[in-house]
Amino acid sequence: MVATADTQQRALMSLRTIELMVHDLPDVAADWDHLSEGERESWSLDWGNEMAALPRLAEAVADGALDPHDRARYDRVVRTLADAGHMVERLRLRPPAELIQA
Amino acid sequence: MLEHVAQVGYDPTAAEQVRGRLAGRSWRRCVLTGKDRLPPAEVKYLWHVVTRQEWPRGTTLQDYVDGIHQLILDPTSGMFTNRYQEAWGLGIIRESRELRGPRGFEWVLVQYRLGWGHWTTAFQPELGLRELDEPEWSDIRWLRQPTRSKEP
Repeated sequence: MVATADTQQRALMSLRTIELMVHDLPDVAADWDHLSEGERESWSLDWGNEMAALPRLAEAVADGALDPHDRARYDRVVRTLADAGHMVERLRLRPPAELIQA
Repeated sequence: MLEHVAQVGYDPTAAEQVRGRLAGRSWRRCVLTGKDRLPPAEVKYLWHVVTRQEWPRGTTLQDYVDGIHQLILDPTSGMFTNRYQEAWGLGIIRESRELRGPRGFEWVLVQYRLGWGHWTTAFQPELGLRELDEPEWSDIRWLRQPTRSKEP
């Protein structure tokens, strides 16, 4: 299936926001024990929503929605998430769905 | 009770660190750095409205907060008690309708934390109502089901 322009735009937006949250994860994990309960819950809810977007993004990637540069960014995010399992588990965050590497 | 929940809003005395996800954004005539701390309402607005474009273009911080206030009082909103990662809360969920932006989704979910008496978040979940099936949510008890404007 060929990705539409809207699918491509949505995929790029998801990639960007997932990337931003994943990039912040080590910093958040380091601060976690000192954060207020409110800040933990707030960040956790936003993290969960990004992880919920991953399967749709993976489908768009499989349909060719990303150019090679952005596809490489996606692959980096997937690798980073795969390596971050211990942090996700420790903070009791929503784990990433099984990722489809097209 | 809903009047109270609608009125209290986000905690104006709390602050959350901006971090990398909002660093570089212009806000109140400054460029944010990752170390800056902002009230939760502003962090949520900059993330869900400005960055993720879940709300319509041009939505201001006041529009965002006013829209949540109205949604809580809307009789078509669903209402449920819940625990999110063990903490008790009250959730309010309604179709996004006029609040749906270019990258928005079908539902708006507001979470009010019972222990502190303030909103924790208001966002448009990627999964819609299925968000509540995720394991972080437990002990969900519907006090009122949301009314759909049309059959799914």
